[in-house]
Amino acid sequence: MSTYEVTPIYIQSFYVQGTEQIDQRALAGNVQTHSYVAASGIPVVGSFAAPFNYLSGLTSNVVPVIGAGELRSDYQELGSALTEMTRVDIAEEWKVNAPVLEAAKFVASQLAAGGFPAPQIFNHGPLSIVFTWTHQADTLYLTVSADKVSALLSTPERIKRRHQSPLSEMAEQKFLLMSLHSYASQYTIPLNSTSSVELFFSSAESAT
Amino acid sequence: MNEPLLPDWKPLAGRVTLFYVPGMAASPSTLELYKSVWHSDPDNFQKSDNALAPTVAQGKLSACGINCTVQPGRIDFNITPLEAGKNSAPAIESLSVLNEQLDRIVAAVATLNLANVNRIALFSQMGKTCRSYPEANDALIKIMPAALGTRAGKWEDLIFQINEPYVSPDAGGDRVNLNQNWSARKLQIVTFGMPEIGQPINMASVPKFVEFIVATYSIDINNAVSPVIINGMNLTKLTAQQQTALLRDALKRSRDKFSEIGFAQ
Repeated sequence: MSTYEVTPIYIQSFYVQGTEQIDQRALAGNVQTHSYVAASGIPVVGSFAAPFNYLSGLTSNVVPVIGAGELRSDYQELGSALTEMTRVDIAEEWKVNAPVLEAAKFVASQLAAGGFPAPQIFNHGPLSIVFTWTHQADTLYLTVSADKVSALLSTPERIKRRHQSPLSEMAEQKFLLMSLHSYASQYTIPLNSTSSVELFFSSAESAT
Repeated sequence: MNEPLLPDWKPLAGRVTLFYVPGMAASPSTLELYKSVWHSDPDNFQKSDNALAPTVAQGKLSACGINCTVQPGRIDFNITPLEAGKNSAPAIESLSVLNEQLDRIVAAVATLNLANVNRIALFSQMGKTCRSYPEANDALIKIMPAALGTRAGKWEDLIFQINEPYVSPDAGGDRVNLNQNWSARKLQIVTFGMPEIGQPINMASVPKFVEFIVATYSIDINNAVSPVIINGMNLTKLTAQQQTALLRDALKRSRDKFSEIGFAQ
């Protein structure tokens, strides 16, 4: 492995990432890839067997490029469901108000950006849309109205946690979602809905 | 650095992004935003049937492509290259063309008076088409600050990035990220030939792939949104005046960096 001469300097979110192609003859045709990563709060780590995407996508301060191709298939289905809720020819009881739809689209895009699994969706009137995730006995309900988001974690027996935020705070939640994703990957916590939900609540509580 | 001007480096992309939280009004109209900046109809307009997918209005000027994209929470104005040259990656004609279009966008933002915007971003990218990765690495090392002490090698996929945040009064005292990125990238251009209506698919319809190795230098300036709301007050929404001031400051800083490096204006 080569030595990189990087002068230690105090610049936040400093990171170096590169791949090096080792002499193929010495490796009998196998190409090894090494990544060298240094970032504030994260020590220099050695090589990664798999592509290491978290730094560039989730913990850096860079604004990512967007594109329709980046919308995951599960979120495509969610987007289609949201579109259906505003069609003029659907029954009134299924139609949601325009500001509620805008809020729901925003929250859904933040969840997608945070890498959350796409939720199920339902509504019970024009004033809110409800996103849900279910894992074993737990269900998380994220109720989105025009100006706020309420989260409720419950089992059939009891309510386990409850949290409410003004919608404007969801912009800041994006950073929390990114952080918890990084945390989850660092400690190899399976990113199923329960761990995401627990981390969502703990990070939301620590922020208030 | 006071190096001689670097004529081989061309602008690859420019982007102004406005992030917003939803208010009581509907999403901004992509078509109206496009017209506000470029005062003409787009060549193409695509409204997706999916609520989460972006809506795109795009057009073409003599020296670059232009487009406006809106998706929930985000508005982008993009300056893009037109077509690839025979031996070089697609590029915008000159830095003055990119600067002129970015100035036009920022001037329009001042008149749009968009509410609920809490974050702005400016992205500019320069690139140089190279014959190999070592050549691209060498081109990048030449424009990196010497203090970083890196030397070129036979690496592939080099990415080197730093952030030098600063505090801006225009962002309510919040910090603004100033990211610089030096990368050796492989660009793949895919060309689809579409047969005329009624004509059978032929060889011209088969996608053609062309690859370029490009040394790129990018600047991404964006204000960080405070992670904590103090006493229930949201201090992060930016007035139109703040949006414009932040963007003008960002433009100046990115141009200063370009000048320091020696990119030809």
